[in-house]
Amino acid sequence: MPDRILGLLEEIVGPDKVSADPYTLACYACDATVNPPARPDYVVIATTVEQIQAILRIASAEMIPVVPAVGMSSTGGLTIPVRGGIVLDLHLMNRIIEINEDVGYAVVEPGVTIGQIDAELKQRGHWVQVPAGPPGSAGLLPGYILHGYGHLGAKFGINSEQITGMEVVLPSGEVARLGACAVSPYWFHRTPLPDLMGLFLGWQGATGIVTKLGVNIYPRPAFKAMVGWGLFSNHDDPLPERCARFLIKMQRADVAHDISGHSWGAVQIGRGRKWPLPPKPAEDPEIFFSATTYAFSEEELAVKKRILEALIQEAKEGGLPIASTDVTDRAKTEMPTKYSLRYSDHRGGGGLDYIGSITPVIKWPQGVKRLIEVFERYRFTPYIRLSIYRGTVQGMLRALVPYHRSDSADVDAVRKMNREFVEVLLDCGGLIYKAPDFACEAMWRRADPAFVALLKRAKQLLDPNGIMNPGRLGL
Amino acid sequence: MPLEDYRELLRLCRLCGNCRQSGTTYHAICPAGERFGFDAYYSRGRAIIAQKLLDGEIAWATPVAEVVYRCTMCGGCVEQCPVEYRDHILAIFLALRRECLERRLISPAVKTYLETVYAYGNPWKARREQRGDWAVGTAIKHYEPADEFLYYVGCVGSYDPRGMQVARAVGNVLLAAGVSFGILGNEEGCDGNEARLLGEEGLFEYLAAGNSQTFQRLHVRRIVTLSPHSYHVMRHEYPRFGAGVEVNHYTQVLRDLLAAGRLDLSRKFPRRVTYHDPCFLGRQNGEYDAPRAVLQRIPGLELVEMPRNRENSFCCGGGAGNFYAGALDGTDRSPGRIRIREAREAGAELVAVACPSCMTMLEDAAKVEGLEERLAVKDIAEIVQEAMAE
Repeated sequence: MPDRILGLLEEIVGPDKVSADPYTLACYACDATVNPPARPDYVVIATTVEQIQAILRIASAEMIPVVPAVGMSSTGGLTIPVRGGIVLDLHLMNRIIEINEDVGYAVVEPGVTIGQIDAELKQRGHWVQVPAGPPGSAGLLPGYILHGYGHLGAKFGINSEQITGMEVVLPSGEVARLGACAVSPYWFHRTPLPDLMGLFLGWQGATGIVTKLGVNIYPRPAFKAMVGWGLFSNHDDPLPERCARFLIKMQRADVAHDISGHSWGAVQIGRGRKWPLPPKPAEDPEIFFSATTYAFSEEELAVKKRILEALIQEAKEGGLPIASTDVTDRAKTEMPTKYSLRYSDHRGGGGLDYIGSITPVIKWPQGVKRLIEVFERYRFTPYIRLSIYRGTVQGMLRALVPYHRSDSADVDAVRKMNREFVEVLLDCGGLIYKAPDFACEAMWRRADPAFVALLKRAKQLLDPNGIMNPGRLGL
Repeated sequence: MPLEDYRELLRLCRLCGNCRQSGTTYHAICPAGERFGFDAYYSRGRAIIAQKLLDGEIAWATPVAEVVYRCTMCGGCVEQCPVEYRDHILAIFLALRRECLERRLISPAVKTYLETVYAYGNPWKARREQRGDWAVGTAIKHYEPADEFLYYVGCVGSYDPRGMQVARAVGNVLLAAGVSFGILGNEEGCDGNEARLLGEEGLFEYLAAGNSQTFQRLHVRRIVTLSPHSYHVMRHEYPRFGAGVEVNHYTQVLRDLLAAGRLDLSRKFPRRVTYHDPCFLGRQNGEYDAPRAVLQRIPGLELVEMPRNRENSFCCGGGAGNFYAGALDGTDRSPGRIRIREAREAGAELVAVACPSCMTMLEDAAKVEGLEERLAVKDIAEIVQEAMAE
């Protein structure tokens, strides 16, 4: 019997851009995390906004779930179609619509990759904040609308802070422009109009499909410097509070583009060392930190570097157990890179999962200590990343777990660890970004009930038939 | 190795999607992925499919073979893969194909190709005694043990009309340089590269053993090949058949001849030329420089690079049997057409190739794109021939 829905979808995008065969569906059923796989019923490759409109109208009428996807490097199970339906593959919508150097923004389609926009802007002497975790082949837009952690966060903040405008297709099939572009020919800013973009940021595709995104671009500095220091704390207090306060002080100096830390295990894994790691040598730091800064002239760079080094020296003289480390090799690494996720093979088996949060820096000492305890209880190498965000005293605190995908004990352990990580980070006053469904549910349990009720009302208003990425967000 | 033996290695695929794009220029790198778009056609998707087949979560059936056989084995994904999985990707694809073949899931086009090569020694049902006809009317002679080189032409150079022109051009340039060489004529057999990459290991072994025996009988020590496909398979697979020969691609030999001053290129060739790296010479064997070195010695020739070049080159769509099966043709997203548009956008008037399969794929693509008047496709040997003194 002919599949009626398949026929309708084929009418919209053509028969060669729709598939319901099990081989194609299997490829869209999983990611590298421990989230359980689930197959869609259809995969549709859309290449125009009009096609997306038509597909969403059919999906609304037929009550079929729709899950947007781009680069297939997603984590957190965010593009796993837990209730089947249509995976809308947008990777061929990959045009850079506009680069406006005078007004300072670029407009991209969903399939534009991080590497693609960076390479284009580089030629023009500009740059954009790129999502720091995904490889260059991942889409720029998903990282931005999911409040992803971006590189150079100490200067630019969270990815979504760089959004200047968007075009969105609602579940009804209507198209709306949000931000300055709703009124002006220029996609320059979210203000001063009422900011409706929040209805689509952090919603994990549950309210509509963003088809164009405006993002800030900036002149690209030519000079870069990095300073590194190791923290020689002890296992019982891996990140002393006075170190957290030092990081805050460095951030407030407003010199660095990035201030980040990696636990000892994270550094070893990053160097390609395999499971199991030997015990940490006593002479190695518990946490490696680095501060990166960019400048438009050598003179400017020298001043900035001196300020950072002076801060480190001052902290050292104040009794903080730190010492400079060699970051020559790391300083050569530019983002984006295809190597950003290669550590996933630490245990063999290619799996990678993480729970990431935005957490007050002053609570990092408590968070790091407790995250390490969870790792060690499950006999996994503690792998912790920290990065401060622009102009604030909060930042990204993340626990990452390379695991073996075919080892059911590993998978089971990571599922349990993830839930514990969530509770630890929430205990520290943090919030989970790109949150898997169980992490959303954990947040809502602690949330103001009125906030959750408002979320549900907004979702109901925009997506009355509940077709958009159902089963996500814990709503 | 059977696919089952790759079960654990398949887990090394990180599912990161780097196999879709060049990790330095961020242009699309996978010809099948670009043609069909679904994740199943990229290396990441194939790893998932192989895993699900092994786990019994999806069944072996004809559609899976269609996905598996649309890969050109160009190695683009291998070049981009950032983890150890890269060392196993092509072997896994090959194991998938062998399993498809054993399960009789191959397409009629692949089946016909393999049966024809087995029966006729070439994919066009041409008579074996015609194999050396391309050289009729030239001074190219049969190989003798005293010759320095055996010039191995392969099926495309022996029977395809355009390939025959290229075969003659290479031969004439070698003659002009005074190289001591000869051909096998109707003693030459198919190199077996495509049969091997289509999963028919038995047929490959039969062909490779036949050629190797001929090489040994005639005391061949050095081979110069027309096709990068022959170069690749003879370099990497023939040693196990005891061939014991040094294998060169003709562009390597031309480079050395030019460096030694044995070719007089005094006629101007004032054209803006871009070079298309053949996958089985470039990515698969790391030879990017010899063809460019030859082109750079042509007086008047201006060499411009396409955005995708060298290790980031984009396959013409003809590798691993797709030259014959044509499984990637049919739309404006066909790799050959994408590539020819890229050459045009790079400002080239002429695409230089070093592979008879690429020649046909790109020449056909230029015609379909309506660019044949503005964008010629020529083999490097043909360009050299035009630049040689009278």
